Amino acid sequence: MKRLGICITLLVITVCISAGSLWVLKRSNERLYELAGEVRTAYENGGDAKPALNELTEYWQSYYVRISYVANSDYLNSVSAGVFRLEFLLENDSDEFISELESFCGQTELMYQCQFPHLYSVL
Amino acid sequence: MFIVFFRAVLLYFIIIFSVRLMGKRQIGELQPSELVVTILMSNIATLPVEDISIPMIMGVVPIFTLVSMDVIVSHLSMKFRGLRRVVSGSPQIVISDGKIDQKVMKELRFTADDLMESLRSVQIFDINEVQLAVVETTGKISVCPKKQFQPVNCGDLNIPAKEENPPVVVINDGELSPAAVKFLGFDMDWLEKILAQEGKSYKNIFIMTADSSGKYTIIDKNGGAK
Repeated sequence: MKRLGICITLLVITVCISAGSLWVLKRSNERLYELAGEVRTAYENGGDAKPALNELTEYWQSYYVRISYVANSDYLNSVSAGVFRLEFLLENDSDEFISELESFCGQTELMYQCQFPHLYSVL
Repeated sequence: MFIVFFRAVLLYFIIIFSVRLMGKRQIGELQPSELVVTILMSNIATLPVEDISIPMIMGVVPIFTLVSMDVIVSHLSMKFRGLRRVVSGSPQIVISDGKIDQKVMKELRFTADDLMESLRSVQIFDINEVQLAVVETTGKISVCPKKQFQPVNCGDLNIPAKEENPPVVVINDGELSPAAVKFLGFDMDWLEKILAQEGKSYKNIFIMTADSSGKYTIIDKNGGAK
């Protein structure tokens, strides 16, 4: 019975960790979109988007550490490359800055959708 | 390289824990579900070691899930016979009253060669010696020889025999086993008295066995204790 208890506990913990990680990913993504929105607003208004971008980059670094426990690190690294490219695009006042920002938001949303247990993902 | 090393060490302990969690039944003979879980566990465990981009949790979660599911299903199988039949199957009699049931052998896809091989593995070389043979759910065959081919025992010769447990190890490589001494119905004073009688220290003993009648065997360490 002790063994059965341990196994049931393990299963429950596993389910809780899985649900918890999904919830953390969703909350973190929402914060990322907020920060990305602030960067975009500052850029489009012609103001200095650099402080907002720095805040986004810092938040991304803590996001990376948190999400690396559940997401494939190759994918995270490719998204990270996009984040660091934003700084250079901003400095060079590139036309691609907004599209790169949108792409970054799209990739983080994709990361969440990949973790979510849709029927087509499970099967 | 360090990542692979640490992951391998962690997974080693996780696998050992998982196998222990599945219980001694798993280490002995494998039921079909246990075989599936063992094979899956070994494959899943290698994934985070081979590919460091896969998070460790992607190996740990399926291993714990499979082990937990297996233990839960086996507990339920103990309570529900129907479930046990679905998960593990039922033993099948292939030889009954000395006659081979070829229909059952065909259903099991058990050939004559398989049958003879299984009989030889239990030291039976003549099929005429078999009274009953059962193919267990693990695939192993259990055989009951005919009466005239069974070894003679005390009951056959009407010799009274005292029921006795076999000897147990009470000292193992210089370490005492109080639980074993208690199992025999003695206490540590009894053991100390014997050691004093023999003029030995338990640290110098490689193996000491004893049975419940007080009979003991001592094997010293080569070269004595350091």
